[in-house]
Amino acid sequence: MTVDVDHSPATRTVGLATLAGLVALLPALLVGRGLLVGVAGLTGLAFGLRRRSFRVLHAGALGLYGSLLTAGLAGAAPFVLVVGTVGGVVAWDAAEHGLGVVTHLSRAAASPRPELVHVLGTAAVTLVVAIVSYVVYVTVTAPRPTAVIVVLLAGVLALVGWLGHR
Amino acid sequence: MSPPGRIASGIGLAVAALGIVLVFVPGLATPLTTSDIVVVALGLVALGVALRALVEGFTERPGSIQTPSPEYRGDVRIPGTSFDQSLAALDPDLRDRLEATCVTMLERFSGVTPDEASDRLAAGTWTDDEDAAAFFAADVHAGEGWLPRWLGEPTVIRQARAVVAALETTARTTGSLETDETGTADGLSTDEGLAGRPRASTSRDRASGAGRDDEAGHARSGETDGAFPRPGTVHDRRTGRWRGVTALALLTVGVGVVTGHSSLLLVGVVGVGLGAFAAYGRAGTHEALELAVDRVVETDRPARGDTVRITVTVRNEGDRFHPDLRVLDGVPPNLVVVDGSPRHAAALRPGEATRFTYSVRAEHGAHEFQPAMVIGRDLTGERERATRVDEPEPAFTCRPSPSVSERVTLRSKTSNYAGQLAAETGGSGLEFHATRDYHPSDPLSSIDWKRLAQHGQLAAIEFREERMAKVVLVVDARPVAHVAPTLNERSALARGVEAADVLVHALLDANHRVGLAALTAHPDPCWLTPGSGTDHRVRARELLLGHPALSLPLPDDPFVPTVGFRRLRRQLPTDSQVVFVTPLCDDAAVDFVRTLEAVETPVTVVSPDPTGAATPGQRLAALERHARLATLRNSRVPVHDWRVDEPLELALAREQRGAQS
Repeated sequence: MTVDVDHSPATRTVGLATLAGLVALLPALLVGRGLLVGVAGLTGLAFGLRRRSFRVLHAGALGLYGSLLTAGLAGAAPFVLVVGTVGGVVAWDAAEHGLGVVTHLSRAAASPRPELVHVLGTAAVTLVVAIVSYVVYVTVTAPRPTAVIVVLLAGVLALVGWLGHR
Repeated sequence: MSPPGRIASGIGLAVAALGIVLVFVPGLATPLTTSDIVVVALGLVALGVALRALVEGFTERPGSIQTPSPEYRGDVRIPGTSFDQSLAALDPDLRDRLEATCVTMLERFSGVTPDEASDRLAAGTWTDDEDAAAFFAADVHAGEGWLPRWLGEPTVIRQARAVVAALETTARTTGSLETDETGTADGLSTDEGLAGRPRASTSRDRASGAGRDDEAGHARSGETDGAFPRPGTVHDRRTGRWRGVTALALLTVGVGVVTGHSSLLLVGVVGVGLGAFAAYGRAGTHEALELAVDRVVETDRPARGDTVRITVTVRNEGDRFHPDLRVLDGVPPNLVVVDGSPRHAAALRPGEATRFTYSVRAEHGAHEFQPAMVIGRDLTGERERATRVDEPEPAFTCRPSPSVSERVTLRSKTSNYAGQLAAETGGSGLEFHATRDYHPSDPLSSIDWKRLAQHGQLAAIEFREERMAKVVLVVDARPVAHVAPTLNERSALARGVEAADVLVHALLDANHRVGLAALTAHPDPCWLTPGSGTDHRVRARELLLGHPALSLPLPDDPFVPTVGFRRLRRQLPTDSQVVFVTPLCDDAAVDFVRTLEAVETPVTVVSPDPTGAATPGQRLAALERHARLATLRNSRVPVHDWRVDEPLELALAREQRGAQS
């Protein structure tokens, strides 16, 4: 009797993604706006893992982002928004990486260590970026000239263009 | 990356970094002034670019490398699958293809001429089934099912299924087709239909449907796009997994600028920071995967069917940390994994090792491990390298002792030497051959005393002489013979090698001279001149278990029948006969037998059955093979039909019983 190769993600992956996804729902929960989109996104993320579909998974992550955006537009506090952003990024990263591993290998082969190394690495980088950004944001109170926005957008445009065409 | 790309990326990163700095240190931007209109316009541009990037990300297929399935047998093909694919795709050529097959099969099973068969198909009189008749006859209208047309199975598929079922009925009625316990067609099939069209279906076909969502298919092997690189090569890729995050960062900045929400700008800046993290990953060079793979095989001489446990150790011999390693061990191609997994994920520090185990079921043959396949990613997941770790590979051999009772039906062509095969000539022996007039030189023991007593006539009794046969075992090792009913079954080639191994022993034990050959396009010809003795026996087995033409991977060179057959025919001794081990997967195999018979080289066929009965294509392929069997049997060529679920001994015994009856 040959073995059946199970390509469904480990429970650990789903748990990590869901846990981080709940953190991403925090801004929407606090301001009372965008929660529905966020829950739908989190459900989509889990459903994408279950269906082994990167597209559904990405659509779910987009829902989490929609929740953050809605909460931001509704006036969520910057700190909460940053925490939610970290949660959203980690949720997507854990899910995408976990699904990639089981797609290449299998559920049985997906050992916890490389997964935790990857997710913790991403979480650490995201946390550092978020903390630095937030600290600078709250310590600088002077009004920002529009030219700053121009430079920032130009830079982001160049970055996206570069990443998109590599 | 090209030099302009490096410059653009450098400028982009620098400007983005400057923008971030200016957001938090606005004093640096006092010399700059820009109107609100420009800012809003830029915000809208940013929104547009972000949305475009998102749409592209969703519509582009992921270019991830496809991993093989080492748990199953490598590159085996299932006969008839391509017909099923044509059926599912409603291929316009389907009708012509099926018609050509039907004509040939009606010719073989019903004994009609090709023109008569075509007429019957056109008139719809070849079958009582309305659906089957309607497939070829425009004047015949089959009744519709109870489901609406748009809801049920397409008519052409239903009719094609009916055609296959009707052909089975025809074959069964004429006694050409046996039925198994499930009532489905039983037999072999090929990768080329009777119409001579290729209809190969490889394990890759199955692999592409491995996932339910099918975004990440699995291939066994090969060098197609996304397939795993060959040994000695690497496949480097940038995954682009962070593109979506960067696009969303841009979107957030755009929304923040247009709506004036500074908190969203903060979120955007976090996204830009992650984009820089991804850019760092993308800009780096792919690190070499300096790994060592060591395998420990539980036993190197297992019995057939034994479970062999394999322990694999992967060690990081480089000086870099590998945070994401995905390893697939190179399971010997003809074996299947029955326990554990040959796949393993690991994160290894320099000098660190990881270990995993799995078990395979031992099968006949010499089994060599393939290089392990490894995919390594950096911490960002942006850089991906796939390669094979080529280590000195251990091997194990499973060589069951053949049973001496396994005998193949040999033809009566013999040599001049004494042996155990009853010849067509009379002389000394045990089996009665004929009586003839007495000659004074005949010994007294040869006189037919009963006849003398009854009729007073002197006559001598002759017995069938027992001579030695010179037999060449020819194994069909063309790629078309690497077929099996399912991906978990051994291929016809692997079974054929086993049959040849068994028959070499049986024939040598019976004092025949035995030679070996393979039908193959391999540059190293597989040939052993007929001989006998202990040394010859050892050489024959070594050739069967070790010749590259008889093991995977099969040669890429195409087999040209005219050249291959001629070369083999020239090698055959004039007084020899051939035992041809072939799945009869195509008409070329039948032509080969006919050619040999035409030059008075008698042939016996041993045919491992590689067909299934799960789909119309498989059933059609089985029918085609049965037509070939019928053709050979009608030409009085003995054929041992070896089913996949029975021991070789049974197949040989069954055919002998049939020949005796």
